[in-house]
Amino acid sequence: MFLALKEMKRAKLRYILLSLIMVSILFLVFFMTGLANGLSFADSSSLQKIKADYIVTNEEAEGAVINSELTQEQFKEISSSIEEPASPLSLTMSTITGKENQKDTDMIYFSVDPEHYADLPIIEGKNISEITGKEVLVNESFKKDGYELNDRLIDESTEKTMTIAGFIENQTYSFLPVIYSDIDSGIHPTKSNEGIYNAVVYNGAKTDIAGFDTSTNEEAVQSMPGYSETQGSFTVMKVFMFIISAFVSAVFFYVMTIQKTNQFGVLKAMGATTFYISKSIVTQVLLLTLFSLSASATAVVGMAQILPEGVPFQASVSLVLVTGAVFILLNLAGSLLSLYKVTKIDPLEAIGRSE
Amino acid sequence: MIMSEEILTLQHLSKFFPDGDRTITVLDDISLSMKEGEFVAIVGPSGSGKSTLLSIIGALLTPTKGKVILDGKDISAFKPAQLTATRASNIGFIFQSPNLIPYLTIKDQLLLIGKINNINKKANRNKMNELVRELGLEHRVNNYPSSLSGGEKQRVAIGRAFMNDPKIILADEPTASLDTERGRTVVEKIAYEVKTRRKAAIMVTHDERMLGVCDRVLHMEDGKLIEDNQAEKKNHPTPAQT
Ligand SMILES: Nc1ncnc2c1ncn2[C@@H]1O[C@H](COP(=O)(O)OP(=O)(O)OP(=O)(O)O)[C@@H](O)[C@H]1O
Ligand SMILES: [Mg+2]
Repeated sequence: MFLALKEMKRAKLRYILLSLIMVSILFLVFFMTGLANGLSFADSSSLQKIKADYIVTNEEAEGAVINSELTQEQFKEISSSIEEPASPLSLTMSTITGKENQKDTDMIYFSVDPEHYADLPIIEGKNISEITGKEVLVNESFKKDGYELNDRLIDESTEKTMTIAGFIENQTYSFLPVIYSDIDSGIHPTKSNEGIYNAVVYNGAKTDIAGFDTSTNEEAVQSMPGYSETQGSFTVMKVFMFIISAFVSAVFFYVMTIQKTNQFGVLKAMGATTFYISKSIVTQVLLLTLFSLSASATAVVGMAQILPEGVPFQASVSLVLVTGAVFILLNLAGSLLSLYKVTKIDPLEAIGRSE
Repeated sequence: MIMSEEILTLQHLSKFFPDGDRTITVLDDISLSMKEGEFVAIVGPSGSGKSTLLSIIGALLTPTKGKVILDGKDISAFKPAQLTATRASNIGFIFQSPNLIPYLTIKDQLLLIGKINNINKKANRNKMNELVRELGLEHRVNNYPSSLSGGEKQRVAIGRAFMNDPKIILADEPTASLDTERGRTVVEKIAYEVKTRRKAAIMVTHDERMLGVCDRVLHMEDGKLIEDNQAEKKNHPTPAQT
C-alpha cells in the first residue's frame, strides 16, 4: 500500500493517462452493453413477456414466430395434443390512424384467445381475461402519446374501431408498440386464408408434437430474424474491448515493472519479499481499475439521463456489476505478467550497477 | 575474547562458478572474524572477488564451501526465504550508487525499511528522526532524491542501511561516485554510526585515502584474503613508531 500510493502520487500524470484510457474503454463497453440491452428489449420484449411456458410453431419457421403459419386445422391438431388449454397467437403489423393533428402510429397486434391467455402485467384498466369484443389492451407508450382509457382507435387498413380497455407495461416487438386484441374480434388485418395464426401458446409441461416446433420464450427470442446476429455482434465488440483494455493495462504495468527492475532488485536486496513487491503492483492495478470502473459507470449513468427518448438504452445494476467484476479479473490476470517478472528479479544484479 | 562479541565468522569459505566445462575459483578458502564496532576495509584488484565475498556475507549468494556465521547462525545453507529474512533483519547494504527509490521522500526512504520489517510505527519514526539528524539531513526530509546532491544521496543510503538495526553493514565502493572530500565525509559517517551503534562493517574500496578511517585493511587477490599489517600500524601506531 505504502509504495503503491506514494508512487501513484509522485507519478500522477502517467497513472492519470492510463486511467483515462481505461475509463474511455469502459465507458464504451458500458454504453454498448446498455445499447445492446435496449435494442434487445425494443426488439423482443413482447416475446420475452409472452404469458406462456411454450410456443408452438410450424417446422419451417425454425422457431421464428413471425415466419410461422398455422391453419385452423393445425391449431385444432395442436390443441388436442396438449392437455392444458392453449391459445392461438397471431402477430400482425398495422397502423393506428392518429387523432386530429396527430401522426399515425405503427404498431403490432398480438391477437390471442382472451379466455386461454394468462393475465399480463398492466398499469391501468382491465386485464386480458376481462376484455370483450372490440376492446384492446395497448402498450403504455400510447399513454405518452395522449391516449386515455376508453379512447377509440381506428385501424387504418381494416378501418375497424376499437376501445382502449387497459394499458400494459412496456412491450414492444421489432421496435413497434404492442396491442393485445381478441383474435376473434376481427380487428386486425387478416393474413392469407390458409395460415391465419402464427403460433399456439400454452402453460404446462413441454409436449413435442410431430410436425411442429415447441420452444420457450427465450428460444423464440433467439430465433427472431436478425436477433442473435445483432446481439452476437455486440458481444464480439464487447469481448474485444475487454481484451484491449486488459492488454493496455497489462502492458503498461509490465513496462513499468521492467523499468523498475533495478529498483525492485534493491528492494529485494534490502529484504523485501517478492510478495511485498507484488502486493504493491496488485494494489495499483486494483486502485486504477476500481477508479476507472466507478468513473465510467458514473459517466454512463449521466449519459443515460441526457439521451434522447428514442435511443433504446437500458443499463441495469447487475450488468454493470458483472461487467466490472469481469474487468477486474481480466486486469488482475494481466498483472500476473508483471508479477512473474518480479519473481525473476535477482537482487544481486542491483548491486554495483549504477542507475 | 568473548564469543558473543563476534558478529561475523567466515570459515574456509570458497565460491566456484561454472565456466563452460571448467570451474573458476572466485573465493579461495577465506576465513575471517569480526567483532562489534569493527570497521574493515577490503581492497584489491578488479575481479579479485570482493563483491562476490560481500554478496555471500550479505545473504545474496550462498558459498560453494565453508560457513558464514552471522550473529551465531550459519546462513550458508539457508533457503532463499530465510536469506531474504536475514537481509531484512540483520544486514544493511550501501551500494556504489545510492539506489534510492525515486518517488519516495528522504523520510519515506528510511521509513520503508521499517515497513518491510513490520517495525512498530513510532519506533520506526524515532529511528528515522535520529538517523536523519546524525547524518545532517534534517532540512532534506521532505525532498525527493532528484533534488539531492550525490553526497546527500549517499548519506540517505547510509541512513537506510542502518534503519533495520542490522548486525553488519556491507558497503561496496560507497564513495566511487563522489569526490575525495565528500567521499571522506560519507566514510566518516559510516564509521561514526558503526562505532556508536556497535555494528560491524565491511567496505570495499579502491580509494587508498579512505583507509585511515578503518580499523583493519584486508587485501583481496585472486580470491584470497590477506591482512594488510601496514594499514593496521598506520591506524594504531605502535610505541616504537612514535
Ligand atoms: N555469476 C557469475 N558467474 C561467473 N563468474 C562470475 C560470476 N560472478 C562473478 N564472477 C567472476 O568472479 C570474479 C570476481 O568478481 P567480483 O565482482 O567479485 O570482483 P570484484 O573484486 O568485485 O571486482 P571489481 O573491483 O571490478 O568490482 C570475476 O572474474 C567475475 O567475472
Ligand atoms: Mg565489485
